[in-house]
Amino acid sequence: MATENKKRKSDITAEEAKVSRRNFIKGTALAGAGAAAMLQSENSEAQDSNEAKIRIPDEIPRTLAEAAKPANFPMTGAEVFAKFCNDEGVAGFFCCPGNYNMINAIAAEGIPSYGGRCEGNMVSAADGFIRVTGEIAATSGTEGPGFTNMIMNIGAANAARSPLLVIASNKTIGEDDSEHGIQTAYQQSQTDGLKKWGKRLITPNRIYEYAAYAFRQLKTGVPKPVHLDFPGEISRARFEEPGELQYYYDKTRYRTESKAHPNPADISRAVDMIQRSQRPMIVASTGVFYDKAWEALLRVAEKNDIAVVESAPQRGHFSDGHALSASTAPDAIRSADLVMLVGQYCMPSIGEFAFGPEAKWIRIDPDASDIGRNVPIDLGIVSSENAALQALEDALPSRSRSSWRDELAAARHAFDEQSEEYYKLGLKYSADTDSIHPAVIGRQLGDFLYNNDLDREQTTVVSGGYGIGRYTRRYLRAFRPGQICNGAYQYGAIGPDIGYTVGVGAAVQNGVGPQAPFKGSPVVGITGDAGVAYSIMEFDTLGKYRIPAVMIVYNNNAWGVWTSGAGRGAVRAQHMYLFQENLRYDKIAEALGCNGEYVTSAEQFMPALERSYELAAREGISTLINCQGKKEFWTNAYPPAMPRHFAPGALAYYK
Amino acid sequence: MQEIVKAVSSELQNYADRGIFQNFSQVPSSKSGFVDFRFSWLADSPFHLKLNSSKPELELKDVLPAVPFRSDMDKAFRTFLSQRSDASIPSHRRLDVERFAFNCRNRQQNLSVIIGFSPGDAGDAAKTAVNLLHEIFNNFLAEGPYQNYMVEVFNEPEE
Repeated sequence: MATENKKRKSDITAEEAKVSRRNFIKGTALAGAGAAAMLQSENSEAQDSNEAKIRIPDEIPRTLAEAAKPANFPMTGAEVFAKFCNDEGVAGFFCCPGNYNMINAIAAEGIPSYGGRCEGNMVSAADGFIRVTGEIAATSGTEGPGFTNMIMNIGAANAARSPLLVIASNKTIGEDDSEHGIQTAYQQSQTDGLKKWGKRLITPNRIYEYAAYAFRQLKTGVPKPVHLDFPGEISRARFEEPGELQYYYDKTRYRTESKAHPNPADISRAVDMIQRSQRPMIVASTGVFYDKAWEALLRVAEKNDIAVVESAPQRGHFSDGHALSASTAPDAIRSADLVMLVGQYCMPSIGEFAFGPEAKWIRIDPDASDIGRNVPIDLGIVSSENAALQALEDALPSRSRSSWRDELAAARHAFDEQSEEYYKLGLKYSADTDSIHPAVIGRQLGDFLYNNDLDREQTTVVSGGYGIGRYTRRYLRAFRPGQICNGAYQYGAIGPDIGYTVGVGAAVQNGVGPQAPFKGSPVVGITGDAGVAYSIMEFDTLGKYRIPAVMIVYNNNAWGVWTSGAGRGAVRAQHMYLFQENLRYDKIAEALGCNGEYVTSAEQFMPALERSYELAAREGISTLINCQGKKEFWTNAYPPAMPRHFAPGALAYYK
Repeated sequence: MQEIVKAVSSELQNYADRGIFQNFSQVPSSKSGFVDFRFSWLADSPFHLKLNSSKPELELKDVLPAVPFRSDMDKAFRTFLSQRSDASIPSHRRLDVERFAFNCRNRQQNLSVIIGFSPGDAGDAAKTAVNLLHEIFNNFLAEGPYQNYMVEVFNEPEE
């Protein structure tokens, strides 16, 4: 795509914006620190004649711009906890109203805070934020109804091993079991199996102590959500001075930054196995990202010519552009004779990863109790990921494996050729059916993001959806840590993708962690028409915070599994799998103060993407691109139909 | 013949010992020279590797069920099998047609692969069969348009 062409189209868009009925009034440029610097109040979409304009009320930019007011004694329980979160570096907070004392205190502390439209989506926003930054984020909902709305999304964060702090208000201890008033629900049992640790706080002066419990869990070992619920007696309690709080001392005393280092004998064995191997491969997973071990990983790989494939809820901790990357080399994955799982918290079972039966297995993990689960090991090493990789770097000799590099290159080339073949088929199918095939979306999106005048490391992508994801993953690339958030990872939840996009967008907007160099850049999200329904109202959240996002929705009028109702002896079943056809999700985005694009052919996609990205970059306005496809593309009438899972690597869906 | 049985059994037992196979069992057949090996690995249903030590040959029996003879899938599989000995395949994964004879058979819509070998190659023939099984599931079925097939035949989850 020519840059000149792109700019021309953008200019036309800007010109049209002055006269079109979709007259997006310019918002403030977004590149501020946090949510605070983002808004002006006059955003609107000009409506037809007499309709009231969609606008951001004055209170939003005004209160976002207010200076933080960190609490000091005397403090409420909520303020004690909020201050604790700030001291621990909680980098983002996503909520719906409820738990009022707490959410107000967190906002006052200066933690970048966002309020959305559904508690579940706000959980996913926090989860997405975490997945691309590696930093802790918090989420909150009100008592029973708000909290129970959060459950699916907590489950997804749990499966992804996200260090997510879940807080929720919970009536009062004094009203326990009485059903007095409304919204009573006992919370902790509802997150059993979906968290690392949780506690209902019942003793006011232990709030600081239990905050320490929570952050010990969040910041050590293998992360998962931590769930605290706050009855009113806790959040409203008042403390005049530190002496009224138990275990009140600095974080250097209630937890440690120390991490497990590998046994030298284990490292020696690992070196021996690596040296005996002809085709070693590291699976760089979740722990590599959270332990910020990507630089040590690169050095180990390059020192001994070890291939690296990614498997995690996020991608980019080993660049797809590196000659030793196997993430886009599926056939080489089958060839590895030594597999080193590093920080693979969500363990595959035998057969879920494509490694062959002759491969030997080393597993490096901070949790000894998990080593040996599912996949039998030849060597287990208990260690932080960074420490183990540094030890390996020190112990390994330099080595060149030219034939292995050649095989990796050939496998990547074969994968690219196959992707190109799918694209050509997609173009044909699109033309034949007056719609757009997902391979076309994937390929052209990849071209736009990585083969254009954009810095290929710039755009962070939420890779979601079900059927569409089977294609777009093929064309998406990650060149730096946190560049791709893998939405469906393990839990396979259909629905959180726009929630993830809010959180990922907030992370980039604030330049948190690995997103810092690309602060303020647009993000891209991908989902399907099944998924969009769960979270489309968050376009209001994208709009009100001016989070610049381009959301691609693949609309094939059906649940991705619709073929289950079309064959296999199904009777009277098909209707349950289908939606009304040609639904206009783009118009919902417009009605929520954002932009909509409607794409019904291959030719329309790239111009729509260019316009959307430009609008996001220049004005902070998000767009939903509604791509009208055909459900029949998942049938064998249109091979490769619904491509199957393949893991690990770029195509990995669940692990 | 006993040496052949012993060599094949030993190789397969090694996979079980390493945890690659689950539920590995060896069942002598009533027919002389035949031994049935069963194990769970890449699918819910157990695999069946049948040794005829008198010929000698190993059969990946009914490895792909519900494949009509001369269907697209039947043809695609035969092509896949023949291409596995191509020079473009990395040598460590290439089928060695100098040492082994590979044949495909479709009976009652069940595809089986028969691997003929010399008595001295029994152990390697077993390894070849296991590795071929892996290629069938993680390559042929993974790369082709077989999502619906895997759901219907191997009870793979829809998602």
